[in-house]
Amino acid sequence: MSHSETFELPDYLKPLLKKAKILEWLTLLYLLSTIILMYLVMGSSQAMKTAWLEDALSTLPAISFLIATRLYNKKPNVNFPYGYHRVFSIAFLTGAVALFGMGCFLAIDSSISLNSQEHPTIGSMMFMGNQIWMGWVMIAALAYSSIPSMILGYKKLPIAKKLHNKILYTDAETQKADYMTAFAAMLGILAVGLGFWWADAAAALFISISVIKDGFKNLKDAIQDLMDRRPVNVHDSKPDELVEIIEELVNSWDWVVEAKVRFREHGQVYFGEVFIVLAPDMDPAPFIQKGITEIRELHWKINDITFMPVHKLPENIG
Amino acid sequence: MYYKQLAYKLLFFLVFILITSCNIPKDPEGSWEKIQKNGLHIGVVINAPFTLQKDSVYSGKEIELLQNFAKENKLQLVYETGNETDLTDKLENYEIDLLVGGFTKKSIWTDKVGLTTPYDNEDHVILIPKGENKLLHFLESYIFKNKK
Repeated sequence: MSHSETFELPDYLKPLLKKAKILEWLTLLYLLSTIILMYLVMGSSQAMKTAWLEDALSTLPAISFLIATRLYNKKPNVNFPYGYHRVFSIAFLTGAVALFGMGCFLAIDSSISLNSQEHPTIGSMMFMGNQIWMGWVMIAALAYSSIPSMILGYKKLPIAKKLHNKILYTDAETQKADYMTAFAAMLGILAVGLGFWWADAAAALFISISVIKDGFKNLKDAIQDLMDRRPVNVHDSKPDELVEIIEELVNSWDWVVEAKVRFREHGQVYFGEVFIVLAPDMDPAPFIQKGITEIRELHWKINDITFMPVHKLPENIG
Repeated sequence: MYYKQLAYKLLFFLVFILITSCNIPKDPEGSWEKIQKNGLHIGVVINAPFTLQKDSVYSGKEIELLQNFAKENKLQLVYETGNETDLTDKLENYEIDLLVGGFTKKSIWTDKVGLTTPYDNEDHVILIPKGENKLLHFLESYIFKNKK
């Protein structure tokens, strides 16, 4: 016995998803403009090159989010009887791989240039009759690349939490990695200007540690979600208490002797089963229908529930 | 709260730039200061018409460029001839200050040494030790002024 709904989000959250989509389109356009600009000024600065590659990689979470939002709400069909909700989980994995890759790349690249004691050569250019050190131009380009990232990232975080959308959250963290790297690169270039050749690479290495940490956490979460781990919160990866609340609720019904539930994440929403031992000699059909409605009223995230009447609760469901 | 934090960061950054900007860029290996004391050591790979040598007299387009640069900055010139491999090694190890010999922007040595901006319209450059950005700044300043 099962109940499913094609449209995941309640009406009050739909505008939020629309806003998230607009933010992601802005992110993508703005990233493309930075990628072009940075390519034009990067010269031989290590931090600049890495910041550029990071920007290129950081388009991945945005792209995968935008693709996923086109698919997630499609109706279940013969080939996809569970619907398309999980496309967000796949997008989350893609984004997490990108973020983790960014961190690794940054760490390896800056370690190599520290190890080979590479002194960044930064020349000058002529601008309207004045000689300008390219370092200043790079810093300006980095400022341009970081401040919008910061604003976009902070705007996405609360939306991601409300929508239980992990790819959106990862994208916000990607943007954090972006602007942190850019700030480090700015300080690095300034320090190179002051004669500390190692500052550029050292700053990048320092930032890479936090990017790798975030990336690894997300990668782990993404894989575990695809392995049907119990639902966890978007922001801190702690178990979502909603599952316990459902179990308590079901156990409180007088037509149920005992019950056990298990849930997993399908992208933004939860799918799961409720195993119940029924009171003897009763027809559960009308009760179950009422029960499903009651559980679904707890939270919009609960999208698909299957009731399974059993004689004895199964042992091997955690 | 977040925007306020950002504003503070930016302010701090701007003050930092203002304080430091007058002496930027510097040389990590102190080339420009060394040159003032010990003279500008240039490596010369003989390659006419850029660099020529007759007895102990050096001439050629690039030699003249550096002679004028040295005169303008009141520097002593010290020459050292050799082959490309040896001289780029020396440049990489900061044993000489500049290297001339008709190199272009597409030089195969760019992994080991730095380049100035081209001084003509055929992408000819002067090789410079990596990261010696103050020396590069003065030399490029001269190149910009005299480029037609």
